[in-house]
Amino acid sequence: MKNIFKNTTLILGLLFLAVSLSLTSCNRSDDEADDLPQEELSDVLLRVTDEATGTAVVYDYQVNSTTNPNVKLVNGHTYNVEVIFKNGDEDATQEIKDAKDEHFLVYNFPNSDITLTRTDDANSTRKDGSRVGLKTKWVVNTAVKNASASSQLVLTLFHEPVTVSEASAVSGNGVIYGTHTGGETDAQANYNIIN
Amino acid sequence: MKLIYCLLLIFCGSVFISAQKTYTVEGTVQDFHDKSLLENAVIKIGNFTAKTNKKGKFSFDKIPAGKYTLIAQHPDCDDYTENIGVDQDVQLVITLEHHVKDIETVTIHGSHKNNGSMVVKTIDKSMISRNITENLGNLLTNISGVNVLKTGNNIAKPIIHGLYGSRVSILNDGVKLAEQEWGVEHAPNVDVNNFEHIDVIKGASALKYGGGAVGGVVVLQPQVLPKKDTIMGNVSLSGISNGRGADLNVKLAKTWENGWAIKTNGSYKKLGDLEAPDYGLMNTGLESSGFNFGVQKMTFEKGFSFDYYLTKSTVGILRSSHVGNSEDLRNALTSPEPIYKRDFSYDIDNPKQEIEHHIAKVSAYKRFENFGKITATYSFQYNHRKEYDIRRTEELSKKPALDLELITNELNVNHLIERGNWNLETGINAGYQNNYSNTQTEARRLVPNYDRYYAGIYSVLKYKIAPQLDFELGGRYDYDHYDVTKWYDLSDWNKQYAADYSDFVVRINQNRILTKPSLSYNNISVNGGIVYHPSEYFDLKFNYARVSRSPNVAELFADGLHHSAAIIERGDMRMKSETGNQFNLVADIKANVLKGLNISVNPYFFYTQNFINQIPTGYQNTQWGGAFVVYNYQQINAKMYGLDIDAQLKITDNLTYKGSGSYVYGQDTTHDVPLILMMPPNFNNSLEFNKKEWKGFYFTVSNNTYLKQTRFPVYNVPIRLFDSDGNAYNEEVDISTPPSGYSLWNIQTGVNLSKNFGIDFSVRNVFDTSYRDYLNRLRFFSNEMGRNFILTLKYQF
Repeated sequence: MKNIFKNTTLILGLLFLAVSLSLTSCNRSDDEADDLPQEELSDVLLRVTDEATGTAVVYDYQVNSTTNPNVKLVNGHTYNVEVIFKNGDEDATQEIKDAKDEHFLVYNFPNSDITLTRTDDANSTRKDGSRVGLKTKWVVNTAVKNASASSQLVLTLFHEPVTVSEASAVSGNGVIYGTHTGGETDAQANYNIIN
Repeated sequence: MKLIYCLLLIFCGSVFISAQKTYTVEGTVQDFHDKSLLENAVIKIGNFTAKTNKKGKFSFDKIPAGKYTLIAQHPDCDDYTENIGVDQDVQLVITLEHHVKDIETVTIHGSHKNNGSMVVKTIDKSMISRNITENLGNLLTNISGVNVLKTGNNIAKPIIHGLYGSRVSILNDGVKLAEQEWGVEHAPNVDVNNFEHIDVIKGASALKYGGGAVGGVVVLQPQVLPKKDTIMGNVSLSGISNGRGADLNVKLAKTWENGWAIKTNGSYKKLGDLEAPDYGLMNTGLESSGFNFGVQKMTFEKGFSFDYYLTKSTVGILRSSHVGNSEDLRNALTSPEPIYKRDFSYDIDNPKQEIEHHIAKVSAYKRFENFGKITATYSFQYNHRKEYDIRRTEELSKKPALDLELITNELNVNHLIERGNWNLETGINAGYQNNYSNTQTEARRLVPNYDRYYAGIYSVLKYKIAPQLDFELGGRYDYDHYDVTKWYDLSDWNKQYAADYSDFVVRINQNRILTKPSLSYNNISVNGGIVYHPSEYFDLKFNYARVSRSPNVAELFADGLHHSAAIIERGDMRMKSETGNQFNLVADIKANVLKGLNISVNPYFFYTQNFINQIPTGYQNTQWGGAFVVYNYQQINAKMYGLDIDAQLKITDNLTYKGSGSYVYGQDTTHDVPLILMMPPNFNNSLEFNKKEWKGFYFTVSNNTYLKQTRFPVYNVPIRLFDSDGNAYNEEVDISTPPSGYSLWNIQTGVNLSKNFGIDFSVRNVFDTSYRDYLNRLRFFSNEMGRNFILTLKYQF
């Protein structure tokens, strides 16, 4: 009989311990904090400055939007272009500069004749010497090559690519600036190019 | 005849009376729990010995007066002793208990002697010990009809008859594992080293384990400790070539004759990057440890136990499997080798998982002579899962992208009464679960915070109608309630739920809406079966189950993106319980071919209404560009049937052939397409040479052959490309077609070098075959691992 009592006490003790453990953790379910993600991007902005006039126009690609902004380029003009990433009101571009060795931008103009050179300063130049592409200079030869097809820029931000190169290659009826292997797509923005 | 005996008795008696006063001692011997009368029990009183007859009766007719120690012995039972004084004729009823190893322990698992009409296959102690380095999922593939859904090689969850996740319950020492079982890449948190016996119950017939286990139940049972004063232990150390790893397992137990026992187990395993035949698999290492402590006091009549289990693991996930969008996925698919490579390393970087699982359990039982056995178990589980992803900045990469804490409390009370030709088992269970999804992750929650309350009651009656015919009937009722706190995107909410669920709304914050859904489910399950046993060469079991399962929290509320599969998963709050009808037939045939042939054939058929299936319902653009397939959980009607065959032929006393094969057919009858991720037809054959006299030497050659799965639904992802005129067009990335079939050879051998010291050696994938497995989620990115040598040294005392 004595033995049974001892066991019962032990069991009750353990039960008490377990219940109190679970009670202390219960109040967590009242947590109503929202889970707003910090990592996502909401907008990819292109600030396009015409070298000749010095006027800057900002084109806003909104992630998930069904319509793309129309980027007006004049044949024969040269533009300085800057890419700005936003997460809501926050500027996420600095994050990319901070982790510049892990990022690379690829510019794809599948139906345009534009000569693009990367003009990044040290803040956005990778350890391997390749420039991320946050700042570029576009020499527009022919903004729209085949008038019957829409002309556009597909801008892709890659994260942790294995290798990157600033080299260009043929893409459709145009050219793509930057090649990479590996990595995952961090963001992709689409802009229409018009004359 | 009787008369003659009587006369003899009287005659003898009268002779002895004249010499010394003697008495008769007679009585019956019966089994404690089912009251059946035991034949061949030996009763000793002093120097006199008697045996019980068929009716369990014994008698002594000339016991001189005096004090004696009575000893009753039976081959199946523990010895019974009692001091008796003989000063008149004595009538006794002796109740014997079965050996400890035969009786049920505190664990509420079914008795091995009578599985009723359930389809049960077992992995025994020697199988576990020979494959001690394997995880549970991979170990279970030794059973026909059981397969694994894998994410790489280190994350494997069991599939039974094509069903997995919430449809398969896993019982760790009587405690149903509560974890994020819904996720494909969530492996069960158990340490195989803690167990000596694994039963797999195929199908839904095991109602006592819960109505949700539509696919089946995996019952993990620890060693039953003997009742004697001793210390037992065993240590095994393994070296694993693929991954250059090691695995250490230690088990210790101290037992006492009075039923007290303490035990403790520990394990540690470390693997580095695995290797496929032609290349290394970057970031596929593993580090896991397990600990178990138990104290118990068990006698036949009553007992209690306390057990604590801990598993902790860090699992690396193939670096190349993380893709941002469907274009990355296409690149990975077209690349002959994984893009990311490094020299062999033990480092585990992102993506990775860190999982911790604690179980504390208190259990007690008592047998009442005319009432049966009552068992009560309370268990507490804490599961903490952190998943680290490839994220944009270093800061963020240090934070888990998913951080779930799940707390589960459960109480079970079971009652079992066993009688000669029937037994009745009844139980209730109730539980409370709390899930907390941490916002510190700065990523969207895959599942919301919730409280879940659940309770169930069941009863199963087994009745022996005739010596050859058993009958079984069971019923179960389950209640499930969820209180959820979830934020939706306002646009999603308005589109899907606003009209019907306005009661759940708490407040709106810009484009987000806070809701508190409160959902309840009632489920009724029934089960009936018969077992026909006309001769010792033939056994026929038939089982029908109508089961009902409530949707799990992922099916209701999942809301997130799975990067490596480039899919978006969405739950649906409108989900109803799924109800299935299952028919299982098992024929076990024994034949005197050579040294003995056993064949077991198990055809089955399921028809499920409102089967919850993850099917693609469209595409969605995200910031990552390109379209992602959106997999919504939807309710469909599903039809499945299949066949498992097992054969064992003892060719000579030392040579045994074992073979098994399984096939499953699954069809979504609502959309008339095959069900996704159905196990391809497969065959396993092995030949074992075994000689006890040579220090327990064995040598096994086995082959596993998987055919290509030809039945699959086509859900491909489109990507946008440009033609030479600059026109955009869509191309499909094929993520549907299963890989080709394959055939693997393995060898395994072992010997006991001395009484305490043994050695096992195995080679898996002997020919270093390159292959991909349809049921591995990472099949898009790399081949499966190549040849692996495993050497295990065992010491036991």
